[in-house]
Amino acid sequence: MELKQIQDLIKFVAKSGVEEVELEQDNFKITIKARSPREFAEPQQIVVPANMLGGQMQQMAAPTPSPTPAAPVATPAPQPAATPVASGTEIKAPMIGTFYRSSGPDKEPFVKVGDMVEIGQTVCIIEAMKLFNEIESDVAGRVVKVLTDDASPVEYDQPLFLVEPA
Amino acid sequence: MVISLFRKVPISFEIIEYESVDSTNNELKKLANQSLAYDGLCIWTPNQTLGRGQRNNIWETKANQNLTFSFYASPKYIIPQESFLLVRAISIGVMLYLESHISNHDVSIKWPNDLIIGHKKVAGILIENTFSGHELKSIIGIGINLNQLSFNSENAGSLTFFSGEQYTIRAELNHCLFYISKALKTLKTNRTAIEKMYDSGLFKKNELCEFEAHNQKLMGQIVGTDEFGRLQVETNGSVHHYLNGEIKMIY
Repeated sequence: MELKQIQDLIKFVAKSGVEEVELEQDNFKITIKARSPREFAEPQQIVVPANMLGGQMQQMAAPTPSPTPAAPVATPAPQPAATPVASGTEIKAPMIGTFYRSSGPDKEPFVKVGDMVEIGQTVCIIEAMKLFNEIESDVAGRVVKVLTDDASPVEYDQPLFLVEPA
Repeated sequence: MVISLFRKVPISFEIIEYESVDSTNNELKKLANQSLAYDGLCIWTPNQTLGRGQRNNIWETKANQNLTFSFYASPKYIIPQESFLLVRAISIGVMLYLESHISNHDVSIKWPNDLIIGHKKVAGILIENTFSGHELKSIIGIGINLNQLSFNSENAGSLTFFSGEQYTIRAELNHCLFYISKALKTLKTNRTAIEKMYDSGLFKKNELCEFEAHNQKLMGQIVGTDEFGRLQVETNGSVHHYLNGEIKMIY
């Protein structure tokens, strides 16, 4: 890793609000810890697979000019230790497109936090190039979190819902 | 209700005729929800009262003048990330059908899923997929303006408008399904051919024209589509990929 890349990485960590980043390549390991006022926050760790490094570096080298950085490696916001961290199975986007929680602008969402879902139940629509794809749940359980905003773009494999398996 | 079999095509269709129905896609969806739909089941009506375009846009159609139908397909060879292949194949099927009637004008595909003769939209496609895991169930709705001559929009037209002919709707349904089934058969055996045909059929391909993207006007040219179906537009020597909704062509 070159010095410039390390500098960029440090800048990125500082801007992103992430507590700690650890990168490991073949014979090389770097850990960057941010001095944070958030004493109670649990350390956040980003594990970057070695084969992803190329792409990540590119994104880090070109940080967004916006003051609130859209971190390319999204991690959940650090939470106070007192709050139980939601765990469960994620329903992920099987394709890129726009995520819709209901079948139409004035319709009720397919599922809400707290709802029970069954395998095969429609949970959202992903629209891509005017192709409307109803996505069915592949897990049964209770929806504990909606991870993506209605009508926002989603990437392939992006987590959409967190479901606590029944 | 009339049921007829239509098997002289590469893929067989079974047509159910309704006197009148609000939307053929909705009707087929109801059957699918009761597990009554199967590959090739086709719903047709000469009088669709509430045709739907994309996400609640109304498809404007007059009774007994146009061809509106939907059919069911569950192509096992398509995985979710590849679902744009269906748009490609169906667009090509409808394009070939239109070309079989029109010789003096260009028929092209206005990305992603409208069919254009000259500069007028003549047909539209509405595909609604359901994915359970990796299994695809697809409801494919098609609207083609045949005999209608007056439209609310300047940008709409019909086959009659360009050919001067009058069409028998029921006969055109068979004719159109023939081309669609040919395209679907090609998709199964040679998807690269379908990808190439779709890209080469694109409206305004390789022509410099004006676009609006992210609230900015830009000059560029369509060079093709990527594997997800995003439009590739070249501006100042670099190619950008756009989802629908991110870019609009001004023509």
